[in-house]
Amino acid sequence: MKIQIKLFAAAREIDDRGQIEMEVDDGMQVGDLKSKISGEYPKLKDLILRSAVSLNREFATDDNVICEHDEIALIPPVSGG
Amino acid sequence: MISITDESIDTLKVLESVKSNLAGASVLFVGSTRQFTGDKETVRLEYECYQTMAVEKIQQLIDLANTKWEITRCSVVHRIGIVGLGESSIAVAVSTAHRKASFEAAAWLVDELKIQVPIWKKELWASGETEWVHPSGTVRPIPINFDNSQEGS
Repeated sequence: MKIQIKLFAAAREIDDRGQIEMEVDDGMQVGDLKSKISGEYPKLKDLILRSAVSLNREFATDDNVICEHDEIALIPPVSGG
Repeated sequence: MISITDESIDTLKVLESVKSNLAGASVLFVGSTRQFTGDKETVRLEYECYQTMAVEKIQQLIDLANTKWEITRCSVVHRIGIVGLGESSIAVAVSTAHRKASFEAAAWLVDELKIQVPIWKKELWASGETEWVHPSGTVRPIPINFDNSQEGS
């Protein structure tokens, strides 16, 4: 399945349009997705592995399964305030 | 009131927004751009956010705070885009019947916002370098609740 992943802050170095598209296996889990992204963008591996993933605007855990139409975002450590 | 804006924050208006005859206490926290971090000098900050999620997360924090402190009114306003030295990046106002709850709830909301709400700042240092601020450690991918919110804040 094809998924889109929103990118923010330093993770936008992956793609400054703020979003990437990836072809992933059905049933992929969040932890595997992070490994896949960090494998493709090794320069940002440390940041990606410290980041959370949100599914439909809720923080996901590594074993959450990704569905095709989920709103997916990579959430690096936040620094608002 | 929850607002994410690219305009300057009228902090007194945020405070006024929580006034109520039911509240005997109102607390306003304002965060602003600081010039020095140790020996490094900041020229300005730039904020970006994942807006829809940020608003939902702030609302969840307010809802949870309300279960603990019986908040009369609460407003959170965060600025995005460029925020110059001394300008306000965030205003959190809380009103409650008595002052202790206002202080505690406002402090808790600001602490949690800094950990859980998807907003990021970029430093422009006087050296000309820019740097996204990503605090050490990992984002906690866990539901918001009081048991989990004591560490790291």
